[in-house]
Amino acid sequence: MIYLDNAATSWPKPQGVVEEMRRVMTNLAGNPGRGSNRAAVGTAHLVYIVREQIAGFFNSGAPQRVIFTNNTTHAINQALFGILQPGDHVITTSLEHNAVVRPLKALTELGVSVTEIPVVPGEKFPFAEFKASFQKSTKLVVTLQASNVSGNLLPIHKIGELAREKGVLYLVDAAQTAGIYPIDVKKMAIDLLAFPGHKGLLGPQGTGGLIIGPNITLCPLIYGGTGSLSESDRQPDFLPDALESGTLNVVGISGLGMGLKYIRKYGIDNIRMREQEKCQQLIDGLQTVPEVRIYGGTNASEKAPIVAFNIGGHDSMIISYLLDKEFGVISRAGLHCAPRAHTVLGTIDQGLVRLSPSHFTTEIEIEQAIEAVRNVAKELVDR
Amino acid sequence: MLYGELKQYRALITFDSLTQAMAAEKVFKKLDCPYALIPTPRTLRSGCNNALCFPHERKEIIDDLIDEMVVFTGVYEANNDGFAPLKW
Ligand SMILES: Cc1ncc(COP(=O)(O)O)c(C=O)c1O
Repeated sequence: MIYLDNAATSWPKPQGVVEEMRRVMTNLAGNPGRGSNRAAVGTAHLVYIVREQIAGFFNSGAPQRVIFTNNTTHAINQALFGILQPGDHVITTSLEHNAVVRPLKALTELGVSVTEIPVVPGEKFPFAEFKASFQKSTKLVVTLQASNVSGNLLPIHKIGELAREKGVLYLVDAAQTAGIYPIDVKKMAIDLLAFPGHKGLLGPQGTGGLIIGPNITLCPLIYGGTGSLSESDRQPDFLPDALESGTLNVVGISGLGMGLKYIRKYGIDNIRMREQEKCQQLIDGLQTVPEVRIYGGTNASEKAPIVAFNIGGHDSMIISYLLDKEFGVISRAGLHCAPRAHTVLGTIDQGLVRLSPSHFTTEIEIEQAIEAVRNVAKELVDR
Repeated sequence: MLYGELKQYRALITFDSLTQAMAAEKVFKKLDCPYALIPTPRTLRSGCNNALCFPHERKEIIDDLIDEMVVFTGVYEANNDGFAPLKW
């Protein structure tokens, strides 16, 4: 199998991640913060260390302002439902994942209004339109950093600065960039950062988090036990407890910690450059296949490590199926949970095929993937 | 009633959340100050079930905690009758 779907979830994980999870499951008992026995304190230590690592990794300062979640979607929902009230206005883009689109849709039904800035992957961000979309009631700007459909980046630094000038909060969906592009929330004027643990940060599925900037108070999405203030029936108002009810994924978090450690050792720039090299090799190879069309530009160094393509007008699902079944090449096809982005790309019916290598992917695997696409294209055209 | 290391150390800090206790531990470690994480005495229960006790003669370390932005809910001196606010 040649796994080229790291944008969905990364695989393989570094060996240390798996070993650490095994160690924690085998040797550590206890539910962090539930009581003061050595087991509960032991796992609490572990969680705290990873919290600190994440705060350091994204330069966000106080570790207690890092909230662990199940995934990016959970973090985004916590941020959106935690801030927005009926009457508030939000600015977003047409590239967003359903992780943003659907909660915003639900919030619209509760009286929140949304402006969607049309963005075409690979074209310049329409700053004039963006600036003109601010209203008196604008509370939040939410955008992804890189499109999960085509890999194109948004100028989040500049978007953040503009939002800050207007006194509006900025939430970034870093699902496709955390662990691949360096993110400094202070320098980049990011107020809230939602990130997956299971993609670029190389941790296991079921991990993710939200970073909450100073002076921001979010209403909890989930209420319940925190191990603190147990005598009170009111939810604690201090972080992280306020937003972390229920037992944490300690084993997953331990794996995420090792993923971070691995990235720091290997170097985030080295990881990204390796991945972009593989993407460039893919793009260059795919361009030699008749009828292949590549979306979002052909310069891999300007994008998250994602290559999106189609073969003629063929259904992307069938291309992906054949790549898997006949050549063991794992891709993702269809709409990638981002229907708006497909409308802009003109692929709403056909969908598109996405290949996303990791830094573990070898040159030979990429060569084989290109040959597989060549064969599938031939088969489809000959049919 | 005094228990655990509190018997010997006599000074105690309480927190709202265990995350803050962990942040405090880091400062103690850095400054080489002995400490122990113990269950928060019932009478002082503030939020977090765990409190940190440390030698009374090292009480100036509270300033370092403040410098390091650790949030705590109280600092106490343990005596045979119970707990009194600690001045440092
Ligand atoms: C841009 C974007 N946002 C959000 C998500 C959702 O991430 P998760 O599966 O961690 O909730 C994804 C995952 O595909 C994504 O690509």
